[in-house]
Amino acid sequence: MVKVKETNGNLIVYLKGRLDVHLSGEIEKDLNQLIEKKPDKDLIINLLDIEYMSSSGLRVLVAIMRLLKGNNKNLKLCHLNSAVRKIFEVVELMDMFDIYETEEEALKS
Amino acid sequence: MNRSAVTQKYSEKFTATIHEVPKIKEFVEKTLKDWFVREEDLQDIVLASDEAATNIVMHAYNGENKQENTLKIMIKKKGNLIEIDMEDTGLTFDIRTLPKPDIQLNLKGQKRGGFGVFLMKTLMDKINYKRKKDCNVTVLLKKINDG
Repeated sequence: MVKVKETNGNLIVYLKGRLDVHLSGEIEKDLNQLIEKKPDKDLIINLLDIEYMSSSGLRVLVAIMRLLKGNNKNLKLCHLNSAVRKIFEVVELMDMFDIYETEEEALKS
Repeated sequence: MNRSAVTQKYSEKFTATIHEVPKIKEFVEKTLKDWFVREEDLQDIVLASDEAATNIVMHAYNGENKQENTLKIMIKKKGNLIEIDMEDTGLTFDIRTLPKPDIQLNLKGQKRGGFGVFLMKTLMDKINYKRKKDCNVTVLLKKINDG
């Protein structure tokens, strides 16, 4: 479910499909394992292929950000579609996350 | 006859488990598409319905995921008002009483989530609740843009 690409200082994760109550637990487990294996990397999550996200997905992203901050590492998000972006805006989380339009911008920052 | 006053409605009964929540979402989404509800309103109502159903599974039914737990959904359109009634037989649970999420506590790991109800309240115009015999009846209401 979680496709990963590794660069020098980053892990880029490509999430696909639905980030909802049904699947978010499994995705969180995969991301936790990934961070445990590579604790010295920043994480970029590319949401281009996310068709739908509910608050369960948001909860996972907050938990992952907290985990990374504990390792002094960063979480960056890119390619949020309008529906996903709206969720961040409604719950006033836009400023809490590092959000980029594209993967290239996230890598450059 | 005033066409806008005609009420259209569909209902369906689901098992109240987290595996069924995507089916509830699909039912609401398909019905709204059949009624040609505009994309922005549709996304808001679908997400709010998903959040309400998730909270009923997790709170009214304590996340038991038992096959005998049920959630009946009725979706109605009267003019430009969409109403979604959710009826469950779980513990008394008024979704409106859940607190606003505390982002700082979430970031510290002292609390998880709480975003769903806030999203629901914000995306819909009104949330009603009543206890009817042994059932919780949660009602989501939103005026849609007919434009």
